[in-house]
Amino acid sequence: MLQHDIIIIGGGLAGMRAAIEAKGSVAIISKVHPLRSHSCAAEGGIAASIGNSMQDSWEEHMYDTVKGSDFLADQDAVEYMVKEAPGEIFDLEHMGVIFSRTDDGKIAQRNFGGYSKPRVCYATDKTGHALLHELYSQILKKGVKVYEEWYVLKLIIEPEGINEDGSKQQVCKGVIALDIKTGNIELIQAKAVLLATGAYGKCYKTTSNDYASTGDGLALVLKEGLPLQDMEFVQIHPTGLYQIGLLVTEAVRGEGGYLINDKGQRFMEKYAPSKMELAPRDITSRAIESEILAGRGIGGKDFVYLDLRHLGKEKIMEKLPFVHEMCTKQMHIDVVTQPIPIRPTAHYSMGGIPVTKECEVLQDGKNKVLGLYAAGECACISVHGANRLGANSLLECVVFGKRAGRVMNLFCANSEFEEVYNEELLEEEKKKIDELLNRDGLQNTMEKYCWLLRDDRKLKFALEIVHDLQKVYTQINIDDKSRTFNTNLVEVLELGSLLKFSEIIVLSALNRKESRGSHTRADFPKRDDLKYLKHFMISKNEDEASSIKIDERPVVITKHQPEERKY
Amino acid sequence: MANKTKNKEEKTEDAKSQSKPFKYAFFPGCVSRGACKELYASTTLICKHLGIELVELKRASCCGAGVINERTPILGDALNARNFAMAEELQLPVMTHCSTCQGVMSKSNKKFKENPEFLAQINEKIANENIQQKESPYQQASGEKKNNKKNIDENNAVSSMQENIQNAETIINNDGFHGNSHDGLKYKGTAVVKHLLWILIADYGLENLQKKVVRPLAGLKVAPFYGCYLLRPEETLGFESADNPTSLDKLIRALGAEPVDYEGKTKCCGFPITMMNRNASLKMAGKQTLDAKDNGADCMVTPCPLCHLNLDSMQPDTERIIEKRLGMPILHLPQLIGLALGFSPEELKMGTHIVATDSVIAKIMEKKVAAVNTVQ
Amino acid sequence: MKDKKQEEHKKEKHKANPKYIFSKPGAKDAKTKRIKFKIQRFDAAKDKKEDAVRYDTFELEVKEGTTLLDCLDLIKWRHDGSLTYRRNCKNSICGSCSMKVNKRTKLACETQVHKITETFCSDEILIEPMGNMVPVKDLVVDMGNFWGALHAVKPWIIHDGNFPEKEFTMKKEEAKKLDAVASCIMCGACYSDCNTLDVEKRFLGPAALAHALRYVDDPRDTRKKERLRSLNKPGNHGVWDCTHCFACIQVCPMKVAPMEQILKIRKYAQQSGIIYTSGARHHKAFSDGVKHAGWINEVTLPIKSVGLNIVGFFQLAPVGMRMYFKGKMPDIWHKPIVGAEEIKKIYLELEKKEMSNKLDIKEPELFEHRNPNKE
Repeated sequence: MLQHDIIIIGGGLAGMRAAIEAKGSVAIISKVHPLRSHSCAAEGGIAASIGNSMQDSWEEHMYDTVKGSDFLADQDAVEYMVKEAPGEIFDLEHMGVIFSRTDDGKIAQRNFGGYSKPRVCYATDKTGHALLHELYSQILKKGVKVYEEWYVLKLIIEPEGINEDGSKQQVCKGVIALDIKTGNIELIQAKAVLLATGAYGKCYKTTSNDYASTGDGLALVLKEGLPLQDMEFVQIHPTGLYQIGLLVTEAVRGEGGYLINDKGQRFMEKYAPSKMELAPRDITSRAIESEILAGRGIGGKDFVYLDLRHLGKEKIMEKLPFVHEMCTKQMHIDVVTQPIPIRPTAHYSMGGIPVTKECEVLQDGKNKVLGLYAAGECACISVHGANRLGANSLLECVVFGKRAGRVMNLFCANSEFEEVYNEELLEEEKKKIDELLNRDGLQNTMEKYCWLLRDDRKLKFALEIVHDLQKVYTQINIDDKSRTFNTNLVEVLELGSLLKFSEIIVLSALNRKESRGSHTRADFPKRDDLKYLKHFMISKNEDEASSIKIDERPVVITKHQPEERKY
Repeated sequence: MANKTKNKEEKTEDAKSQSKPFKYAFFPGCVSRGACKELYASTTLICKHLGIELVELKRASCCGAGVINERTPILGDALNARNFAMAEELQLPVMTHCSTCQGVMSKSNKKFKENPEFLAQINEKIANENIQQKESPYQQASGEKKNNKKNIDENNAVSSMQENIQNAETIINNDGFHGNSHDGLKYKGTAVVKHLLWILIADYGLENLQKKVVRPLAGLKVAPFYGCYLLRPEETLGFESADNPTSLDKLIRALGAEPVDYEGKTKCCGFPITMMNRNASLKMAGKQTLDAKDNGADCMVTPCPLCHLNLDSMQPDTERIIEKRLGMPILHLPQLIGLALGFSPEELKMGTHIVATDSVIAKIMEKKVAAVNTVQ
Repeated sequence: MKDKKQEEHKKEKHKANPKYIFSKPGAKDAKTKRIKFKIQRFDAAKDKKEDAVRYDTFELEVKEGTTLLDCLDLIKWRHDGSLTYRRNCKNSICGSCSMKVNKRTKLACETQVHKITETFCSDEILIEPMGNMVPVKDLVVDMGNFWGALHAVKPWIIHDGNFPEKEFTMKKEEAKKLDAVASCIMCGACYSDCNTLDVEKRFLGPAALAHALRYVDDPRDTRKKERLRSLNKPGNHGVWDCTHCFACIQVCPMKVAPMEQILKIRKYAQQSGIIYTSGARHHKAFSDGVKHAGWINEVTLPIKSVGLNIVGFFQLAPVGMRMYFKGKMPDIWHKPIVGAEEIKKIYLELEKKEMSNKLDIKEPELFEHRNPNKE
């Protein structure tokens, strides 16, 4: 049997950062090669108050983050993150990350929406790529075992003893994983398992997330009857390429691009007359969506135009060459002579697997699952609350990736490999490898009924469809029957993941009867701190069809009392 | 208004100077004067026959082949700036008949055209030190540059070497230009460099060429070997798509022969690493040749004498390494054209090839006899 | 009253920007074309032999603006779910979806299908897995050798000595120097189309060598000489195996220009006195020939390149003999060209400056890599 002290599921930034820190026998299991991870697509940068361009402090970084989160972030976790940030940036720089520099040779910093200071360190427009490739170099140097192109099917979690409150103490003992290349299914034993499986935007049709962002980590946790937290908060970016979803950077509007509806109007003057196209993301997203809903999308369809033509060829080529290139390559559109069709696109998910600020996964409001950890976008720690600020996501990945690594080292030093009781587990998983998919159904449902403007009726309808799809899922057939590199099978497994946690997104959205940050309820347009200034953890027992459990966790408020979020 | 017309006039004048009917500054390169003299002979022969006037750049140096730049930074560029300046003075586009020269010179030229600052710095270096001193009193008087240069030439002692060369036999048109010293030359960045193949297709025209064909190569299956330097990188060379080049195929068809399609046609012949990794170099040559052979080629044609060296001169060694008999005749581009124009294999110096070209000659002569018979 | 004023204000605002008049793009019908995709199919587990490949052809009606990846997805989702290929980000940054399109390696996610049909004047597109790697299934290959080569050049900073408390200071120009290779996405396109790898499997390949340069150039690394020596060692199949075919420059989707980086390593090595390689000897002999006569000396060049090497000499001898008897041997007396002394002057000028490290000219970069500076 395969055995490692520490198994890290996911080879993106959080996973690799943890692997660099981890000691003993360490393995990364990733369904794609680590360098293909979605972290590489992050463009903007990584926030840290190193104060290279202006006096700065962690306190200011913290305030901006908490305010940006619409006061739902846990302030102890935020405090830890922003305090660690500068040291982490220097660590990364020492590892070899090529940051862009100031004239005097220091790490350059720039400003970003929601920050009061230029605080974002960057590597041209490929910050995620720069970090990811350098961390991979460190993985190579350290000789970490990488199970590349292995797909984790199941966490092995079994009860061992009783918690203080009388509930069973759950212990994670390893994973069962599918080697995509050979089709073999293996049980891999571990003392500690870290979930660093990243984003889950693929449950929406229009998303900036990559093909692999199917939230497999969340589904793994749900399968074990564990809860997810704050799943109603999905950040939707206003300008994604129509039908493709790729982000058109905010710089386009910064340079003077116009948003235009079918009537040729700059409709932002209705929604944000003073800031126009430069209004915050959520306002702009809602404005575009409202135009589309009112039938003023281009040709009555579900997109509007982002128009750059008036800027002229020279300015476009000088300031926005990458936008020109992306549109040419992806859509065969010349932005000098044609407007870009865009619509809001699912970008980032604030919710996820509930963890303590030591990255330990919770089984309910109080008790932890021993030996199971989570970090990065799949975890809800929660440093982003109801809305994430740009450049804080990369920071979260490296800070809490590193922390998870250290916490796991401590845990492993004082624990042994636990025996797996259920000998049938592996066989059961092997049997389960026969299920099927209907990808279109889910994505359209989520986008129609659990998108930007939500209400009770829509959400209930979405829930119904997701339940139907879950039933259909068990009966679908797979074209490819072979055991080697069966991407058909992996896609079906991924669909299973999507269906699992999508249900939780809808349930969470139904549960939060207020509008906060990225979560907008048409039937409850106001923020309600009295009832909803807290986290909700929702879980579902696999065996009993309608056993939905909702737990609450208080928001940790240390320094900043909630106030109205105005810009 | 007045301005506009003036501009127009200037332009037409410019165009005239560039498009003197088929007259080029000929840059023969090193190999066609050394190990592939047959290339020099056949190029000059067919150009004369086609009415393409060549003015040989006798004082031009080696293009550097990318090698010189690698040893001493920018030295290769400096040499090419000097070469370009000479062509610029003649107001003629440069003609190469070697893909490597073409590739390296295109690259240098692109650097100069895109970076005027770099060009200015290089110009300082190619104007020699001892000249600079003499030049200084004239430098203030702008607009007198030509006079200025003459003065320098007169002042400069002409070496005995130059005298020798002045009396040397001229093979083709020389305008007496090469007798002067070129110290103090400056390259303005206007030179155009074209390979013989490009000239035939874009300037001369395949229809015109076809009219001169007296011995159509009907039935001859020719594998075009594009190689590397004439195609890649596309943004430097830019004559045709590097992914799907067609120029040689078209030319072969125009000569009445049948082009052979094979994967190796745009691959490397292996010559550049012949000294560093002989085994790999010959395997490469072998692979491409075998590919052509397997696709039914009677011979291969190459626009580059370096490819010719590896494909032809090394073929016996290649056969030993890949343990297969090849026997593939390799023709220089102007040799293939020459055959179609009616020149004899001897005139085209095909006897100097390592791999005998008899099979090719037999095939086309046979056809010609047959054609004559049918006419009668 | 107030409302009126506001409205007026709005109107004013609209007027303030009179230049902008929205015009819808012409009612140009998106062109569609019926295109055949001939795709190589292969399963290492089923078909034991590598040559047991077959080709499946799928026909799709393709709208202008569609990428190859869109088409492959359509085929997989609607026609044949067993079609296997890698893909992930859809935005030319993750490097997953490289494959051969009409024999040239490209990223499927950024390849416009209509454009390919135009370039190749054919409505049939041939899709094959990458070259120089072992196929696993359909368009998926085992990239083990590729990663192995990367590992071999030690692509991480080795810094002997203390680290600063904060960041290393690095000048903007120094950071900029690293940008070209830093934009590499490890897609393997260069490795797939590399002409040397076609015949020499031990060659480290373009991507790995480009990365090697990045660490040689990185001011934080303290083992430059060691790296250069290792990359030049003939047994390591490093920089001198590059055959200068430009294929990697042509196919690189990020414009890293790997070959240019390889040439830089060679240049650095020669400058720092690593001259025991046949490559360096060849370059010196070549350059010297031109220095003294204005053109290369083909008689002495091979002999000098081979150096004191009996085996090499015996390999050369028959070639020379052969050429001599055919009258192909270059003249033994290497006659200088007219004006050779001018060329020598240029040499002396530049070599002198270079030796004393006073060369004040920077060679411009020809290939603008895809790392636009968004500042």
